Amino acid sequence: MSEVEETIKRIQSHKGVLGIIVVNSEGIPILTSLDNSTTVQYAGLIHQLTMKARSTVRDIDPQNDLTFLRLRSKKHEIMVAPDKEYLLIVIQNPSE
Amino acid sequence: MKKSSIMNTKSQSRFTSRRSDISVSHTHSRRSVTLSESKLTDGKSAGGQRLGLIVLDEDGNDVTPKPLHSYDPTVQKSGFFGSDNQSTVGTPTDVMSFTSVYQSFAQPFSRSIYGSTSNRSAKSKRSSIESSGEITESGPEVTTGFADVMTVRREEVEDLTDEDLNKMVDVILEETDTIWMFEQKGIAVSEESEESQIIQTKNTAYEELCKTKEGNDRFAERGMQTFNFAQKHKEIQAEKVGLTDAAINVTSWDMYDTYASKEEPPTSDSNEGIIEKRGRSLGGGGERRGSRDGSVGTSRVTGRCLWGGKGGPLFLIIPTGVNPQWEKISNSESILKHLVVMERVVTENIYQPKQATYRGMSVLIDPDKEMEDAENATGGGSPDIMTAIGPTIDRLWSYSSPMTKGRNVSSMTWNKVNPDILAVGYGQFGFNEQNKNKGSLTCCWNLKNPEFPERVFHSKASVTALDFSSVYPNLLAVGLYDGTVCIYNVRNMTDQPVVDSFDCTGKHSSPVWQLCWIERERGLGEDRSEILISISADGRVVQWSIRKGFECSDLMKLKRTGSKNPQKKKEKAEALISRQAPGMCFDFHAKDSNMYLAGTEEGLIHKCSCSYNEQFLDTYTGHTGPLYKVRWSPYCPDVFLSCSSDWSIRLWKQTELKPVLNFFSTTKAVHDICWSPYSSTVFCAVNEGAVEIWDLKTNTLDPLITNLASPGMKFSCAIFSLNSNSVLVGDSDGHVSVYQLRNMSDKNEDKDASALSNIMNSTISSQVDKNSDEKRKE
Repeated sequence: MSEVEETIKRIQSHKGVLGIIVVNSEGIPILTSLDNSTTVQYAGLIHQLTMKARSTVRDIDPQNDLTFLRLRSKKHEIMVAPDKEYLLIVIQNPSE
Repeated sequence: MKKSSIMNTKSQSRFTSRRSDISVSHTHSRRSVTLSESKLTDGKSAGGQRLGLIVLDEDGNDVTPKPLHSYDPTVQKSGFFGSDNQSTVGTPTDVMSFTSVYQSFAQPFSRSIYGSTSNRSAKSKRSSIESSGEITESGPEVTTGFADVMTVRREEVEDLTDEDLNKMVDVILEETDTIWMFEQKGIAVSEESEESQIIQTKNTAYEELCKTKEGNDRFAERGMQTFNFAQKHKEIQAEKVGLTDAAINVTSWDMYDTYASKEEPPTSDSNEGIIEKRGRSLGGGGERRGSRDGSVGTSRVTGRCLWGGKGGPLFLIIPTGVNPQWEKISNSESILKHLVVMERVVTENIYQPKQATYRGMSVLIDPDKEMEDAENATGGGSPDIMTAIGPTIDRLWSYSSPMTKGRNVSSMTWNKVNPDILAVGYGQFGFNEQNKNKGSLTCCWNLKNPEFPERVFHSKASVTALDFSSVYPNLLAVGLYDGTVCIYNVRNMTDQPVVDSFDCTGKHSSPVWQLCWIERERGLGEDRSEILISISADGRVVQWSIRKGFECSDLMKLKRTGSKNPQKKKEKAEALISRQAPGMCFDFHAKDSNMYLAGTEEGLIHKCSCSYNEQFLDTYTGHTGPLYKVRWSPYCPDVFLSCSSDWSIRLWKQTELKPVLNFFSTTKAVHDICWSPYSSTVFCAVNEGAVEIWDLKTNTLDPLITNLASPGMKFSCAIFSLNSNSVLVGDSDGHVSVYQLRNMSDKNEDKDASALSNIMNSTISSQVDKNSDEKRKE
C-alpha cells in the first residue's frame, strides 16, 4: 500500500479519532471513513468555513496564507489541513 | 415611402434665370406664408452658375441654403409633384416657380414629402408642363439625387483573427459633451422678475386684440385642409433580449493574485482579471448540494474496505465514481506532508499532558472533561502526596509500534541538533539469538509522534551501535553484528545507507559494539572535521573517514595482557585464540579528544591515545568480567564510571589504577550506565531486571530509586534526556519507555563538580588510610 494510505490508516487508528475526510476543491468529498450523510454535511460546512478563514487571512495580508485550522468544541475537535486542490479533515475526540 | 424631394437647381438654371423675375413676383405672397424672413433676390448677380436663387436676409448676409446632397444627373427620380400644388398652382409658371423654390430651398423637414404614389399626378402635371414647350426638358431632367442618399456605404468586413479576439481591448470611458436633445423654456414667468411687466403689457395687448378681432378688416378667415392618409398597421417581432445577472465579490487578495500572475504590466483597469476568476471566488458550497448528494449517493454501494491494525475492521469508503481524483491527489507530494502534520496534531491531542510534563510545562486541563479524583489524576497530583513518597520515576509514555514489538533494544542515541529526535537500534546481543530472516531495524523517533517512527531503516544483521554526527546532524552511523558500519542520511526517506563498509578492506570481522563521532581539529583552514571511531570484538579500534569513499585505519589493536595476578605463583599457559582482546566499549575524553578509554572483554580498561597505536598509557584493573560501558563524568574531568557483567559498577579516578568506589546492588549483569546531565552525582544504571537511579550524595551503597522490570522483560539500555529531567530505558520487548524523575534533590546545587570531587576525595583519603593501616598491619 502506498505511504499515503498507510498514514491515513494509522491516523484513523489513533485514540479518539472519529473520522477522516478528504474533500476536493469544490467541496465534494472524495475519501471518507464516515457515513454518507455525515460526510456530506461536514464536507459542505467545513469547506465554506475554510474558504472564509483563508479569505480572512489573506485579506489582512495577501502574502499570507492559511496553513492549518483547528476547531475545538465541547465534544470533539475538527482539524483541517487546507491545500490548493483539496482539504484534509480529521475529527477527533481528544478527551477520551 | 415618402421621400423628400430635393432637387438641385443646376439643370433648372436655364429657365429659372429667365423666369426669375416672374417667379419672384409670383411667389412673393406665397413666400410670406411658407418662408421665413429671408427674401428672394435676383439670382443674376450671382451669375446663375450654381443656384438660380440667392437668398439674402435683412442684413444682406448670404443665407442661401446649400443642397443636402449632390446632384447626379444620371439618376432618375420617381416622383416629385404632389397634388398639393393643384389648388394653388394654376399655371405652369406657378409650377415652375414652385419647383424652383423647392430646389433652391432644401428644407425637407418643413415640406411635405411626395412619394412615388403620386406618380400619376406627376405625369399629368408633366403633360401640362409639356404643353409649354419651354419647360419640356424639365421633366426628364428633374432628377433626384436621392439615390445617392440611398446608397449605402458598405464597409469592408474584416475577418476576426484569433489575435484580435485575444487582444486586450482597452475600453476608456469618458464623459461626452452634453447633447441638447430638447429644450423647452417655461412659459410661466415669476411675478417678481423684471420681465413680468413687459409680459403683462403684452398679455393685455393680446387680449385687446382678441376682443377687436371680430369684424375687423385686418383679419380675414381662411380654411385649410390637412390630409388624413390611410393608416396601415405593421407588426414586427424581435427576439427576446436575454438577460443574465452577474455579480462579483472582489477581495484584496484576489487582486493581489491577479497582479502576481499577470505577465504584462497591469493597466489602469484592474477588474479585467477578476472577471476571469469569477468562478473561483464565488463559493460553490451551497448551490452544489444537490449535485453532490447524487454523486456520493451512487458511489456508496461500491466501497473498499480496509482492515485496520488494531483488530477491528476499518471501513474506508472510497467513492469509486470519483476515484481518479483521489488517485491524482494521493500521488501529489503535498498530501503526504499534510498527513504527517495531521498525524502529529492528532497525537498531540492524545499525548499533550504527558508531553507537557516531559517538558516541564503545566498541563492544560480540558474544561469540559469530567474532573477525576485527585488520586487518579495524571500529571500533577497533589504535591503533598508526591513529596511524601520521595524520589520516584514516573513512566510517561513509551515509543513503540507494532513493527518494533519483540525486538531487543540494543542502543539509543540523541540527535545532536534536535534533542527531540531519538535513534534506536533494535538487535539481539547474543549469537544464538541472531535471526537472519527477521532482519534488524533502526528507527528514528520523534517526540511529536510516539506511536510510529519517522524513519525506519532495515538491515540484515543486528544493530549493535549507533551514533549521530555533530557536524552533519543528519548522518547516522550504524554498527552491525557482522562488523559492518553503515552511514545513513536521515533526511531521506529511503532505506539505503549512504555508505557501507562492506567493501572496505580493513573492516571489522566481529560485532561492532560501539561507535562514536569525534571532532578533530584538523590542519589550517579547515572547518570542524569529524572522524568515526568504532570498536569491535575483533580487538581493533578503527578510525573511519568519509572524505574519499569509506576508508578506515587502525587506531589501536587491543592486545591481550595476561592477567597480572600477583597472588598466583605460576603463570598458566593459556591457549589463546587470538592475540587481541575483544573490545566492548570506549569513551573519548571530553576535553582532550586524543585520549580515550577502552574496555575489553577481559575486564580491563585501557587508557589509550590516538598518537600511540602500539601501547596503552594506563590499564585499570578491577572488573572481573567483560565491560559493557565506560563513561567519563560530564562534570569531573578525571572521573569515569564503568559497568560490566560481573554485577558491579565501579567509579574510577584517572590517576588511580584501582577503582575508588564499587557499587554492588544486584546479581545481574549491568548492561548500561549513563551520567545525568543535570547533576554531577546522579547516574542511571540498567541491569537486566531493574532500572536504578543512583545519587552518590545521598547514598553510595544503594540506589536512590529502583524500578523493577515486569516479568518477561529485560532492560537493555538507558540514556538520559537532554532537555528534560527524564531517562529513557529500552527493553527487550521493543519498547523505549520515558521515565521522568521526580522529587530529586534540587538541581541547582549539583551542577558543579565539587560535590562529586568531594565525595571522591573523602573516599580516597579513607582508602589511603585503610591501605596504610593494612600495610602497617602487614
